[in-house]
Amino acid sequence: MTTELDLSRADVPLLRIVGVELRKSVDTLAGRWLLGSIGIITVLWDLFWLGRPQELHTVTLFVVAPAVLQTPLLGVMGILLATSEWSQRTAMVTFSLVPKRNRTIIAKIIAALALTTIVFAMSLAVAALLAAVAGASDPWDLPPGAMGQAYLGALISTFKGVGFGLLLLNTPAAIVAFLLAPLVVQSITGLIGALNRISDWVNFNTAMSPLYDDVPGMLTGEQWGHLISASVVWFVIPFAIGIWRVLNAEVK
Amino acid sequence: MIRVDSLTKDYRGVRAVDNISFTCEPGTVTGFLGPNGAGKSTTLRIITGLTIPTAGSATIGGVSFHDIPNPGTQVGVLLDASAQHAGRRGQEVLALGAATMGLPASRVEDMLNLVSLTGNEAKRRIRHYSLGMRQRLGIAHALLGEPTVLVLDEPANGLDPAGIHWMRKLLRTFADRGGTVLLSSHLLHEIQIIADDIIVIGKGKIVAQGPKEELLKGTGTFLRASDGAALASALQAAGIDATPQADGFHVDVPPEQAAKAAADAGVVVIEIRESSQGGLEEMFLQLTSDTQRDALPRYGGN
Repeated sequence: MTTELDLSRADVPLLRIVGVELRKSVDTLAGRWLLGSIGIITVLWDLFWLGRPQELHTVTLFVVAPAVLQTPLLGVMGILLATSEWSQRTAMVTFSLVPKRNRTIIAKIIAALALTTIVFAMSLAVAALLAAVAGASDPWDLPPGAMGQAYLGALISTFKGVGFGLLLLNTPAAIVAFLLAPLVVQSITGLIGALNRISDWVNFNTAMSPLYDDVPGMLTGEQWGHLISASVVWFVIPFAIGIWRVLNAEVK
Repeated sequence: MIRVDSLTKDYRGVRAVDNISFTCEPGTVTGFLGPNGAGKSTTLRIITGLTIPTAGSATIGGVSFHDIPNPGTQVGVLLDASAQHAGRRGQEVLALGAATMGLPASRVEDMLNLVSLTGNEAKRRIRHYSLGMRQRLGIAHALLGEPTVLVLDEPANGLDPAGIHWMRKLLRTFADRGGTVLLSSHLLHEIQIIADDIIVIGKGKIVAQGPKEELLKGTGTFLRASDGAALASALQAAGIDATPQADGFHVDVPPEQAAKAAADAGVVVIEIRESSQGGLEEMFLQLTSDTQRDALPRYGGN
């Protein structure tokens, strides 16, 4: 055994940290149930969609329809990625193995991206299967724009969750804030006349909804503006403050 | 080598750690002893980069913890055995550590054997673990990457006496192979069993430090004979001041000298030992009572 440290040793590569983060998201019952329930809800909602008129049985709509329930669950998934280390106090172990905290944050962001992509791919597979079995006369409408928008919506939902998680570092608080805060802001901007004008620019749910219109089409310039502005409010700002917090927090 | 230099940590006006300095040398087990709330854990968290100090520095092998590449393979850390995801299986915790450090999966099995966790126990979720099992799992995690330095916060907490002796053997072997160990405890007897060097901390300040033998050296001898009067005169004849204590005497000379005085006078001594009066134990008790937080209950109960 040498008694001095080996400072020339290679550091833990980022991809390995990403792999560990992905593994941590499925190695507990809580994590497995969450991902499992996203899958189950997607399938159930698509089966329910089969009850609607057959011309609506297109791949795009099979992807878009379950989003109403999928997006909050993706948010919870994002929250757990960011908060479980703190609520379960494993941050002490994580940061003593990878003391450069920004690397763990980057790994969690990449893991969130990967998990969202897997969920979206799964939705697409279920949609393709159902469209093939019980599809409309022309089920294979795959406008890349609409698909991209649905994928973008999923990503924004996940990362809004990660942002709230990083900001609050506490699972229950982050989930409550994640679900309630947009509703509160929506009510306030709706009730107070002077705020009506900014309503469209700060309301997360209204800004997101065009991504999932019943008849999906490309967003207009103004809708893009609303989406970008609402994303800054609900995702970029919490994210920035949250990252600062994690980098500076005392881990106990 | 761990080097802590003029370290200070303030929390909103409260000084948790007050300008402390010490080093831990390779080949030794250093015990960090102090009552609860003395600043032990804060110091250990600063050493491992989890808490930012207000002033001063802490380094391992000459660099700050943040600059150690793949630190898990060089510095084994156990700061709180209960800080684990309650829903994760024991062996999964080790597997995650091994994966992060880039170790073969076989290390997990080796470490489980080393700390005597059975296959069944390893498959259970942490929420079903006793504190002793969590400590064993934490030790296994700290040793996973074959480090040369160990930083352990209250590792003997929750271990039974046999477990404490097991840990002493484990850390002794580790140090004898050139490793550096820093561990904390709020119990003097644990530190007495395990450590070579002792640092005593109270209210954020170091109040004593040095080799264990030196700090624990008795201040005299207690001895007892069946014939107390004969012993008293024998000691007097040898010019040794004797103070009656319990049913024997306390003298301010080493046991050998006192025994010789009794033997010269032909007095049969039935008990003789180094007296623990004064010294570290008293100082530690003093520290503990100074920082005692709980008043005795007034209205019965517990």
